[in-house]
Amino acid sequence: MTVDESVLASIRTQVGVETSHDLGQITAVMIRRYARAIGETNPLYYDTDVARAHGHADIVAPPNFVTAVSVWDEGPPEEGLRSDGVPLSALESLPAQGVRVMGGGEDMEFHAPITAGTSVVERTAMLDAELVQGSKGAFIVVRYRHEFVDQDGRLLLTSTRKVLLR
Amino acid sequence: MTATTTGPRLDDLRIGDRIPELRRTPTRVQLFRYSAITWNTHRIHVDPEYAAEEGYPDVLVQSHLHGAFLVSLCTDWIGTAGRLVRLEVSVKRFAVPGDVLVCAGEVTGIEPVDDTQGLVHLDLTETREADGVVCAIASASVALPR
Repeated sequence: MTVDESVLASIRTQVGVETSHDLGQITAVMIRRYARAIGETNPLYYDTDVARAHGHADIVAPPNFVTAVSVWDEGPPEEGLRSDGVPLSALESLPAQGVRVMGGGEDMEFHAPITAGTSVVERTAMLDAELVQGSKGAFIVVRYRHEFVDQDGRLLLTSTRKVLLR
Repeated sequence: MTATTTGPRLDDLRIGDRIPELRRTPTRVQLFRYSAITWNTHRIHVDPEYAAEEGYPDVLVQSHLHGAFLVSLCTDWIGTAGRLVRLEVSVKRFAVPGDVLVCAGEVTGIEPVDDTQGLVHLDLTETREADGVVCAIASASVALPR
């Protein structure tokens, strides 16, 4: 299958549709494990006393933690994963059948540190989609905006992501 | 304990200044733990047989882990007095466990906001040391005291 104007039209029906997900509480152990996994030793990520001495309520998540999490709940059983391991549900708004899906970069704005104990809600919307004629054939660029807010609605992080369909 | 603030000051910087490099050598264990904590089930990051089926020499470093290395490049440099406010990352080429990834950055803009602080803009690269291939590029903005 190749992407074309009809695939683009079906994707564009999703533009502007906002979905909201309660991600639950960012816990201290999640933050410490993420910091360990990226090879960080910064005490702001591990030591509550150090974080408080710098004016934070508790330890702070490394800046790109919340955008890096693929799935916030338990995810599907194995039968719900594609052969490459991606959950079938992750691509439900896209015509994933026969189309190669790739990440195309991310632009993150960090508005406020995310500390342990914060409950986070993610609001996602497709911004636009366009068909591009590349040197190796046509592809579609879909842009999504993700806003992460705390329990009081305060904006913590905004991310714009590009997904490429070929 | 008492907080101490360390790190660069905006008024000491010039366009073209280079920030200290950061080197990371990801391992299969690191990629496994990164997939685990982000609940990323893609087999390309943890299953070498699957990666070989896709034509790759080993499991691939996650795009957000490339991003995390570039975050650390910035946060190590700015210390506790500064704050990372923006990072735009594009992964260009794949990297595998054992690759020595050199993260580097250069000041491209200096923008005082008021008498006490301002923004510094940077171009960043993550380069595989063995062959000079650029695996990721980024632009970043950090808030620094003056």
